[in-house]
Amino acid sequence: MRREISAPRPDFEARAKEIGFHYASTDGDLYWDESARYVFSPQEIEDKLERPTRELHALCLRLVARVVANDDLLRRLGIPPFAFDAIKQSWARRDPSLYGRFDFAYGGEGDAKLLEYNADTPTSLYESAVVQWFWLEQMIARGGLPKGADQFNSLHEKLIARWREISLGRFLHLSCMSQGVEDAGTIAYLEDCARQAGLRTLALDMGDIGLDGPCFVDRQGRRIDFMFKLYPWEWMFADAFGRAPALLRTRFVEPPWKMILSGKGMLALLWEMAPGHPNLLPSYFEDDPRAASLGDRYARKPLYSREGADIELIDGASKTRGPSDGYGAEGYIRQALCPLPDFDGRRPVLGGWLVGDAPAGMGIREDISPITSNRSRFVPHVILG
Amino acid sequence: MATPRKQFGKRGIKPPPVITHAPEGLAGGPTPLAPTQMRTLAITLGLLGAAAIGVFAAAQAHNRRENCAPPEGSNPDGPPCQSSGSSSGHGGSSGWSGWSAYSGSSGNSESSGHSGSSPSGRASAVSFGGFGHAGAGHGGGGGE
Repeated sequence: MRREISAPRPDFEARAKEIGFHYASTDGDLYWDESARYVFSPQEIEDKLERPTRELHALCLRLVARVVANDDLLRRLGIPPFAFDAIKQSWARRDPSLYGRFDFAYGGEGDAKLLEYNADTPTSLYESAVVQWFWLEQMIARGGLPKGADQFNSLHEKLIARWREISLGRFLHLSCMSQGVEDAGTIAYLEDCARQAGLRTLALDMGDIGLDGPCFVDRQGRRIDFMFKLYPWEWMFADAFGRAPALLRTRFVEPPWKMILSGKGMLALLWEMAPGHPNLLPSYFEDDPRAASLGDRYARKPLYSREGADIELIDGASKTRGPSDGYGAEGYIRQALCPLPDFDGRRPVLGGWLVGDAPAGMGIREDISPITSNRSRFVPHVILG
Repeated sequence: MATPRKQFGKRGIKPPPVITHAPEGLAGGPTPLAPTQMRTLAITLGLLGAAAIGVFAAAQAHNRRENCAPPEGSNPDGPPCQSSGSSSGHGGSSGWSGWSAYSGSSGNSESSGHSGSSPSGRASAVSFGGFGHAGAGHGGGGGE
């Protein structure tokens, strides 16, 4: 694995516009950055990223089976008791998952280490699936990359196939907080994949979900039976409709059982279940006496933190803190410190995508900060060799 | 014999479809129907529609009894859907301060007075705005 300088396409803006990529910059800051690229060998992808993604997914499913059978563990994860039924029922039915993303620390040596699992509402999907693929195709066509260059990226076709597999002919609603350009873009992309799979769809804002007695409905009065929501379960349950019986009736993507995996508490439970796993870091709930074994080198993560917010990296006397966003009252875990690799001052996090049960691709975000946040830049990758 | 190199992302010669602007349905799908075919289809649909009205009336009566069956019908152990808005029986609260109470009709929600095509055919007030508040201060629900 290496980071290389890469010549940006001179017509990038026009190309981005052609494919509806509207958030190449956010709030004036560059987000999509093709002035560099990460280069991998096929063996690195296969052995260090693809295989761990598959193995960790299997481990996660075993963990869910263990947690749903034990209310103490559900409580340990900070899940409110009134949510237990929805979670257990969705697991008992095996409500299908569409996708997820494991975030790894990996720099070309040793094993990739799982930092967290974005199991519920992962983004950077469109840029992973489509924008970097166009980049690859166009770079090859222009001679900027050799003809045999490849990319760990079968996201697009797998998403379409997965929609076809899990839809069962149902009408699909897709919902998010639509004022966010990235969230709206993610929904637009997933809606398009669903349509290419033959589904009938409607996208709507979270505020446009109506409650009609025992059912959720849209503004047209259409019953919401099957819904993709880019809105985390802990927020769903915290909202006014979070205890509505309709929540047990609608089938959601991602399903409620994914809440077990989307919080940081699962990292402690995974380590307890598979101590010493080469892709896991020692992790403990903060009030667990075993957390002291990490000494003074650990990451302190709120159970429901998002986008690096309120995360602290403790390295002896040195402390680095992510942006503040009010998380932490729900509790913390401590995870053995695993600094991101440093490539000329840039620190990449490797997002290993999963669609259904299959590893499906990779997206890389890098930052000059040791904590990756929603300000980090997306950098494309290529497989050579 | 050499093993062919594994390919991780080869989609063929052409790039994937342009996504957010793609037309509905599958690329290379069926071509539009000719006018004569459309006329035949309209007549057929008219006949089917008349039959469907009868079936729908029967379904209405069934719906009033069942109100709300699980959509796939694959969950015989699933919950009844006619609860009046009470919680699921677990009254506790977690250590996190973010969970709100559900009161049957949201304190934050608007009531539309919508009385249209409710699935059971009954006139009812629909409440909107019961989702979206927990994330309002965090700038969107995507990303983790």
